[in-house]
Amino acid sequence: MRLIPALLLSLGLATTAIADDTHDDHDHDEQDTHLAVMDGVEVLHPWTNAGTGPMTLIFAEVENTGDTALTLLGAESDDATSAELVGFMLKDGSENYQVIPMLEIAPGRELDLAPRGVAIRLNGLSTPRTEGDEIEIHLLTDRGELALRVAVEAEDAMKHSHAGHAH
Amino acid sequence: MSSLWASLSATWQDSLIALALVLPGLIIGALTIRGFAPWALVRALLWRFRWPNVMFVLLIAASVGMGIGLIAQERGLRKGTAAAADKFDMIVAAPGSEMTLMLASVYLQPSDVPLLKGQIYNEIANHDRVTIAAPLAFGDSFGGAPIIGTIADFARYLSDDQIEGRMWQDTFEAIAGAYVPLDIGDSFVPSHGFGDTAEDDAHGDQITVVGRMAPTGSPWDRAIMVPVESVWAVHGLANGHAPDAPVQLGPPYDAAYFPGTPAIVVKADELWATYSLRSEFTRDAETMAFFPGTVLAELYAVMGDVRQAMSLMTLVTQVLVATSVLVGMFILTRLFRRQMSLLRALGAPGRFVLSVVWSYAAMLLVSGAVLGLGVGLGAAHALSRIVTARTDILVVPQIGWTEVHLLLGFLSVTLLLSLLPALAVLRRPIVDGLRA
Repeated sequence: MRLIPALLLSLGLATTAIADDTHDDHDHDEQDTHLAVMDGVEVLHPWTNAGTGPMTLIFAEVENTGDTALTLLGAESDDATSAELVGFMLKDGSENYQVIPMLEIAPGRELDLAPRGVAIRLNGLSTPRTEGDEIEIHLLTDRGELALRVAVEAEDAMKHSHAGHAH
Repeated sequence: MSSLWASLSATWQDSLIALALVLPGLIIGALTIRGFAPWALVRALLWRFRWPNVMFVLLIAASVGMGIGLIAQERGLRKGTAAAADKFDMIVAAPGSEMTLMLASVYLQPSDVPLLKGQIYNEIANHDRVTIAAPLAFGDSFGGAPIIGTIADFARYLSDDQIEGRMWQDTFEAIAGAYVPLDIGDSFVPSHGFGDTAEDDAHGDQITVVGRMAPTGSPWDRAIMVPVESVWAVHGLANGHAPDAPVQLGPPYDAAYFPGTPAIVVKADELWATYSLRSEFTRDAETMAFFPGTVLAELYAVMGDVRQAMSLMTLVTQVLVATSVLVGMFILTRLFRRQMSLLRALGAPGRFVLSVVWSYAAMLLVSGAVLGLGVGLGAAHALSRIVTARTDILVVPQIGWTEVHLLLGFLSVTLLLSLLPALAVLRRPIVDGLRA
């Protein structure tokens, strides 16, 4: 099934999410929530915590499989009034996230968007997120947009429920 | 509603919570004394029974102060440890325990860790986004003060360029931390190792103090900083530069003559670049890049359970105190039972007597709570001085919203409960009271 991304890419469908190749026991829809691929970018396990507030943080493993540096520029979502990249800071002993304009990922490197690290923050959410739900967002990069289906995990989760699985 | 609440700033949220907590007490007070002027009688009662009243106020102050002091101290410690790590944006080390590396690099707790090679150091130091890549070298001490080898740029950055005297210009010159008991111009011979096991005669090179850093509020205030070449030289290692290269201190280093470093403190030109650098220098079985701030936050999260336990204990203590206050109020009202019965016999309305007893209780509670705030702050300051002296981490306790909420909640509940002894006074037969 590695052929699928190659075929899609060759057809110029740079922003098309594809299924992964090792989860034989998962159906296609479920696989889409695990891995999204476009030209030289792989985003694995996008997820967020369940909650009712207007703000949430989205995490994922982003890999630059291209030959040049990849720049993450932000995100967009129809469910939120705004989305931005944020970085964790410890300020006066309290946890804070500060807006950052971009993130660079060197060729062949992986960047973990994780709790107490970098994340995508969605603001102005009007509907609660329940475990098992999905949120659709678009990751903005210097190579184009990548559609992600973000899995909603438990309210106190610190990682994706499938973290560590091969894809 | 929840979105409106979330849109408010933290200060507004805390202010509104404080208002919500104190409002029941204020409403009860306003309803109880409305239309009456009980203060002259209350003053008389306070003076007439001043010694029991003083004891009561002290009891409340001690219990409130204990809770407030503990919470303020915990927050001060958290802020102090975080502030000590402020200058350490990112650390790159050989793969291992982030906690161990953080304790060694930020808090100068001795530890044996693998070394990074010169190629790695040069790759980091030459990165476009890196403004400071400071190698650290541990292992020696003098009079209990750890000697840390590093580069001049890091010493300037750590002290915000506040260095009395001058920066080192020779391999065997040093910058002393603010509280190191050495003066500019003093010389010393480093001991190999730390504490009781330090070997005083292991090295023969004499190092001269040429500068002193301004206080940083971190364990580095009791450290002695020397050029990293100095640490390598006293241990008989290459000094990071080719033998035929011109004499210099600091980078660039020749990877072939770089003896290794246990940790590199990295500062990037932008916050976002720090995260990108972390991704770039996290490599399997080669390097580990981490943020001390994140490690501390994870530690605080674990310690958060302890903090919650402390808060629960404080809450339980306050409930016990509130119960004691209630019982105490019943006892105190018996002291002036005859006076209250006389008032009622003279035709004073029941609500007036109620307002006198409640106002009297309110005066004791408010006095005790305010005094408790001072006691708490004093206790936190005393504890902080001890912690700072023992750890060299500057702990500055401050009263925060949590303590204010605790205090106002305690006041509201006890003011409400104070109605019970006041009502009990009214239920007692007047004749029995006059005979008491």
